[in-house]
Amino acid sequence: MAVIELIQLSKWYGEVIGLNNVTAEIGPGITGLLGPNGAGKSTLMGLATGQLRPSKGEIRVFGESPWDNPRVLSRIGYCPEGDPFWSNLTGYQFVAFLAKLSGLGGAAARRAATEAVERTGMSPHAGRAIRGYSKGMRQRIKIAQALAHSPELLILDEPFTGADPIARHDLTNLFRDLAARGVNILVSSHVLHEVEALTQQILMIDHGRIVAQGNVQAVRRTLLDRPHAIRVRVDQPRKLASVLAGWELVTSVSVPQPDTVLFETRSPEAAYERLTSLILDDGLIVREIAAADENLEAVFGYLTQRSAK
Amino acid sequence: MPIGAIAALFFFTIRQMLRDAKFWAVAAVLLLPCALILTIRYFAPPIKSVEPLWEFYHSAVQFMFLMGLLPLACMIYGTGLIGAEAESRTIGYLITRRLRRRTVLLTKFIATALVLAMLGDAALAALHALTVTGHDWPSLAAKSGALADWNPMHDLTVYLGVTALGVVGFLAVFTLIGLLSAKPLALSVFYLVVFELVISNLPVGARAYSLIHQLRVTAAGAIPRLTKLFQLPDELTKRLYPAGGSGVPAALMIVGAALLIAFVLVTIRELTPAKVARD
Amino acid sequence: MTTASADRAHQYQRWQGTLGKAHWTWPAIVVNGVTLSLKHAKTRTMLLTSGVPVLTASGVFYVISLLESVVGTEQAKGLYDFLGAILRIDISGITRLAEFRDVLWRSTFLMVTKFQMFWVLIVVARVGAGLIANDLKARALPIYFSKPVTPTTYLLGKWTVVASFVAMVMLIPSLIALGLGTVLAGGPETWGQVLSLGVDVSLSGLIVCVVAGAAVLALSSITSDQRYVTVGWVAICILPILAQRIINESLPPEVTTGWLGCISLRDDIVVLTERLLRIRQGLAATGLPAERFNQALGHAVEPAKAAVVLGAFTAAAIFMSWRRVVRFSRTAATV
Repeated sequence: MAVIELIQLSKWYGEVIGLNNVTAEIGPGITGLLGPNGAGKSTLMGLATGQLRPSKGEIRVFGESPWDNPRVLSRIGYCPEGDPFWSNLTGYQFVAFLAKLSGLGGAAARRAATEAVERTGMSPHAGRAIRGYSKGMRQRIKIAQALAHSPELLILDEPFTGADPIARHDLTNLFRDLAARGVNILVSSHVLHEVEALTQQILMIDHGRIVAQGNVQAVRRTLLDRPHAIRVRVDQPRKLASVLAGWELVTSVSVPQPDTVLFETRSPEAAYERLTSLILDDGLIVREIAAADENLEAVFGYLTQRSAK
Repeated sequence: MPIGAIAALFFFTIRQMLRDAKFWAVAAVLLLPCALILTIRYFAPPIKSVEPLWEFYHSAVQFMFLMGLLPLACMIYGTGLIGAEAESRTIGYLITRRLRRRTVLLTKFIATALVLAMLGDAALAALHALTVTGHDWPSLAAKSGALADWNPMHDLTVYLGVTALGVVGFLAVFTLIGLLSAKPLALSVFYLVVFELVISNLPVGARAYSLIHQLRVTAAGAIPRLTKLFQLPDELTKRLYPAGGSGVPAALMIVGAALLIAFVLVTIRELTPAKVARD
Repeated sequence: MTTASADRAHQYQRWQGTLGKAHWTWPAIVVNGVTLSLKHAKTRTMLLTSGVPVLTASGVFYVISLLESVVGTEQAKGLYDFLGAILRIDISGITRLAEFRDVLWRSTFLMVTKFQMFWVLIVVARVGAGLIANDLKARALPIYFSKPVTPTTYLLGKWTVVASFVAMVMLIPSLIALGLGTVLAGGPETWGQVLSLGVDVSLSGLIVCVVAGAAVLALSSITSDQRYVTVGWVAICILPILAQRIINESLPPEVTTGWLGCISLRDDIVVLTERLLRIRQGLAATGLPAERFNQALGHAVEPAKAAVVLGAFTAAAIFMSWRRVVRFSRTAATV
């Protein structure tokens, strides 16, 4: 059952359209919300957390509208983007206060705050005022407050911003661990390979519209107007390139590196089959065959270019 | 009813108020009449009757404290009750949890009103103490004619209640203005000048909508001879300030109406910086 | 490949000319501040409206010149009454009006100054409150100080923005009114009589520029929230006036003409303006009884004391804002 349902959802700010007639279901597990700046990601998150009202259509979280709905909101943990803090509080006080606001009693809130602070690696710094935190520490303390009350749904707006590589690695593991325990996560990011490391389920938005939804590879395969790029690392690249150039199903061939051939085709399955036969027949030593553009970055680039047209 | 969450927000609001530099600036402003009385007592020649004390005390409370300083303090806090949180984008933390939006508003309102009322009453008590202590009352009373029986403690008790009522009233109105407009300061100043300073002094029925007038009615109903301070014709004085009259019901109606509209607004409006408090 | 072509290949343009000295960066701050403020229609409307009362002063000069021509006749009484209401001084005892034209014009400018202080309050609140506060909120100070801008040039630039608007409200309309009045009221002989008036009016306007600018910048440097700066500015302007009124009514004149008479900044500026314009001496020379104009002009506070209070306040305000800006120029601290 979908956790978040968007039903012909539109949101505009005066003449600026934030979301444009969007219909989608964000199901259980981790979903990556992707899009360039101004695409509508924060608008979607604002709607899902009941801070914004739809201009048209509906949004349902756990089957209900989240607007001024404590029953739904108490099941959500929200980590906003930017730097919103009461900066005179210590990290621990900040998390504990918000845990109490989420309905936890005094002792339970303190326990939950301690655990959340520990899980995000902020225990050594939790006794200091937030105004003295670095950007990465602020990010982690924000995530801690989102986790403290053990929500069923985490909505994370750019959680990796400002985090150093070790923190990113730790947070990625944390989110995976939470997802394994049944917590649903909607995470937005510009750091595409981080989202790719976290999940294969994506929802791509551009100019207020959904341009793709689902598994990354499946999305890629639906992009019929784009030839697929295949990369082959081989010991005789020029020999392979000259053979590939003669194939009618190959649209372009290049040798970007001394040991690599990159070619494009509209029929990847047929190309893989013929390539395998060619390698066996000609005795080429192949070190790698990989799809060069089934990663998130390539798919993202294709889709946003297509959307811009 | 999430009592724990409400209590947490209540005490958090008080804590944040007390730790803010703004609070001490407001306290200094409310203590301005005390600085004045100290200055006057130091430089003035010895008084010969109760009358100048009575006049200064009631003038300072009526025309400086209740008409100027208290509304200013409430304006500073009321217009930013939700707006300040929206502007710093911390409002999202408050309204995405167990509490309904109107509960968040009401809790912050009560906490703020409590602190401001205590601060106002403390400033008033300080003014009272500085005005009345250190005088030879028996000999002053003997030369004071109609004011010989002046009981300052009784007047202080009345004013403590009037101040608390004034805080609740002004805070409610300015909270509403803060939610109504993206530029609450301009609207607040307009309200203060037109409704409270101008209309409250006109001999027209519209005075009833002014909080200052209702506070004066309450004070005049309980404090003898206070109406002579307003220098109005006798007929008008009797009409506007009936003996034993009270402005409490009317003031509470203003508070109720302001809060009700504020509840509706906070429930239906998006609390983004563009829509709430952009001054 | 040469350095120049390498630069062009990377789309980087290196400035070929000479760069100006750091202390001339403040005009850029002034121009930016003034043009940004003038973009708002409300600010422009406020400025235009504020000039109207000042320009009516030239109408008063015309009435004075009319009175000069009808003095001693029945028509003079009405004009005397009108001028008395404007100047708040009964001048019916002055018959040699042409000889005392200068003092009457000076008295008119004193009334204009008192009235314009209200507009200065409004305009400075509008354009001055956010000058440093908005930079603090947007964390723009590190950007400023990464350029050849020093705290001194920064503050000088910001102060000049406020001073420009105060000049637009007070000084420039006053000089225009003076010019118009001279054209309307008489011939070339009036130029000599009122030439020094232009200098004195300019000095008075400059005092307002310095004090108002320093005060609002000090407030603006304390907080990043423009609302509180505006409230603080209004409080600084109005509360001392209230306090001064109470003190004047409660204490004897020998006390209120001393330091205790200098609590209100607005009243101090009026005292200094009165001294600059030499109102009391001028009115005394006309033969008018002293009690007539002393009552209208209020307590004769010693100008030196008013100047000391204003100077101390201004120095404290400048010091406060300078320290705050220096602190932010050295750290990435947030307010």
